[in-house]
Amino acid sequence: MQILLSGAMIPPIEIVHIFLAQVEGRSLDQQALAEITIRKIFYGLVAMAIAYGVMSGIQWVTTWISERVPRRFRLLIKQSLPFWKGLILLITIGYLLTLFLNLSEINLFALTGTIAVALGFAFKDYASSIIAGIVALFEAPYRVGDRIQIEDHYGEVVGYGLRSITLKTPGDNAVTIPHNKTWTEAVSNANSGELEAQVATDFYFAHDVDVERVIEILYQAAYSSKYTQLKLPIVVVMAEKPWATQFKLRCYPMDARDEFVYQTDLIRRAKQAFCRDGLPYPHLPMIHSEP
Amino acid sequence: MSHHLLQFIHQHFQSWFSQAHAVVNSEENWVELPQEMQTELLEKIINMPCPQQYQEAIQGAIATGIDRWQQHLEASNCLILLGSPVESIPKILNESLQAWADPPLDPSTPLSGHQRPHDPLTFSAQLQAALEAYPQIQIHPTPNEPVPGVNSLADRTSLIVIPRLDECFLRCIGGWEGVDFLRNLIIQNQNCFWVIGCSHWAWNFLDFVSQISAYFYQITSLPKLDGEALKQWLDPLVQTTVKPNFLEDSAETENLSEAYWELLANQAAGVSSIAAHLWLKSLRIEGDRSPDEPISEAETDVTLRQTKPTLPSLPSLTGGDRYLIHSLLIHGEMTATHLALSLGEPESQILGRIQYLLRQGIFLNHHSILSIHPAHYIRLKTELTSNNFFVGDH
Repeated sequence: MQILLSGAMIPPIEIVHIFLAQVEGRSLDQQALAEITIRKIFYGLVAMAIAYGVMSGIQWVTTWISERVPRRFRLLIKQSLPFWKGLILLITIGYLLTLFLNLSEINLFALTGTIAVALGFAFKDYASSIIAGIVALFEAPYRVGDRIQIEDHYGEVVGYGLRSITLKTPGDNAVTIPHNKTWTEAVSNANSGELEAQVATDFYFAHDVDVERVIEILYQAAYSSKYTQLKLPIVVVMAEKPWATQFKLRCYPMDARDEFVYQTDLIRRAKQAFCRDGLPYPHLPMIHSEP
Repeated sequence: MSHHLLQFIHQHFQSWFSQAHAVVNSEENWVELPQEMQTELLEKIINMPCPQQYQEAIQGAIATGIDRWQQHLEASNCLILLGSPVESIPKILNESLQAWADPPLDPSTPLSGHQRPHDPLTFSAQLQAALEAYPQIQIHPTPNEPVPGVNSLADRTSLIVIPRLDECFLRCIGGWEGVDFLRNLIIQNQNCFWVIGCSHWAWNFLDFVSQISAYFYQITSLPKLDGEALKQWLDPLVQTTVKPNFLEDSAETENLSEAYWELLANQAAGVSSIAAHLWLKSLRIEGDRSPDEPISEAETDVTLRQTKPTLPSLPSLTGGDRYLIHSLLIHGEMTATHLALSLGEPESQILGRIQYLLRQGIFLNHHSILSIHPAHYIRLKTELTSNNFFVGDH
């Protein structure tokens, strides 16, 4: 990357030099940049390789352990992943800075200013994502293991990177979403760090249905499902539609991952009972379209 | 959850630092009992009367409950007796009542041999049919019946025992209508005192689904047995089968024996059936033989040694296995058909895993009735708690 300055193409490293020279008014090579040797470059490369290896290792280990420990500890282990990654990154950057720069107060000030200029020109979105990722660590709109929806994408957060998160959708696709989406898009989080997430299942019946019986069956469907977390509330709510009466069963599975099999189990159990009792489903009017 | 975890850690530490540990290490020549001998000893334990502490606790609770009910018009007419799902509560209740020299009332047990009907929707009808034979129970309430006065206390002379409430429901839609039927029957039959046996797990489940403890609040649990109680209970068998430790100092022998029984009680969480199985597992026979090797006729009077009692390890369990185990612990005992119904799955889909769990010794199969092996209960409970399942609180 090069920046056009007063009609001449100047490489970014030169911009750093110029900036630092303006701040200090001295020779740059002596003050800001430490002496660069082959050995230092080698150390730097080794440090980066180790950091990359450790980060990959931690990612693998946390995933491996979290999928083997009892459910209760799964999220705890998964949620520690961004912390470990951040820590390694911080140590590595610190090491590289001390290796190649003389970090006096003024140099640090000059450096941050320079980096800000460089990033502002070249890596605006990338920097925005990284900052959003750091902010998200504290605000926690999502954590690893949460089930979230951003725009049209719904799934479990399985990866938390420097720039983006990875969602695993119910269709087993991996969707990568940059952190900076949180600046502008709504994030819908189903479980917010908990194991359980509410599942809402809709049922529709004819207007003249025995409402009490339907509600009773829906409660029993939830109570009898093997997936239900009985310690959390089970609620049935109703709404009238022009073409049917809607019943919404709200309850929680013991593990948010079971969301779809849980919903299937509820529907299967409830439908068997509805069929046994002969409860009337709505008859939708036929719509005839002209050929 | 933290309570269970602490209990688990405590058990491990106590087991590790126990004096009994020291005894075992020197016994390298002693091997596990042959299967045949274990079965024989287990049968002897099953035929033994239940621990004295259980009987005393039950008799005391029933006597107090009946006395209060006969004295006060508003007193509860129902006593719930809770125990571990691996404990045979009907047997304990039955023996406690039979061994009672002077019971306040003669008990009737209308559902003593009761089993779940094939169709879970017929629970109410089946219970009604079983209770109709008892004239003191009024199945259908009489309309406009006057509110009973103080004079009605004299009519309170019937004791009805329902040994196992677990057998009166199944976790499926309509599956606990039988329990609701019983609940209404008990409330309207204030002239009878009802004693109901149930496991902690089943009771917790029924409390979630029909808030049963709001109606029946007089609840008592089987007491936890300590080392002394266990020693006293198993002593008749120990005396005939187990050789005392070879120590010259009799005081030291006594201390080791006490430590052994305390450790056993701790590992078994004070539950007699678990303790019995752990005791059996702790027995060793001298010689180099495999557990499947039968005992020769010349060895009929072999003596055994007690080694450190430990909880057996669990095999690797899948998510599906945990649902099977959880359902079986809620229901206590059940057939594979009912187990499938309670899980909402076709029977063919779970048979393979049932076979696996039977082979691993987690499940027991007695005349096609499945149950949990008592020795595995403690670890299974911890496993289920850690996996966010609700468990029966003791």
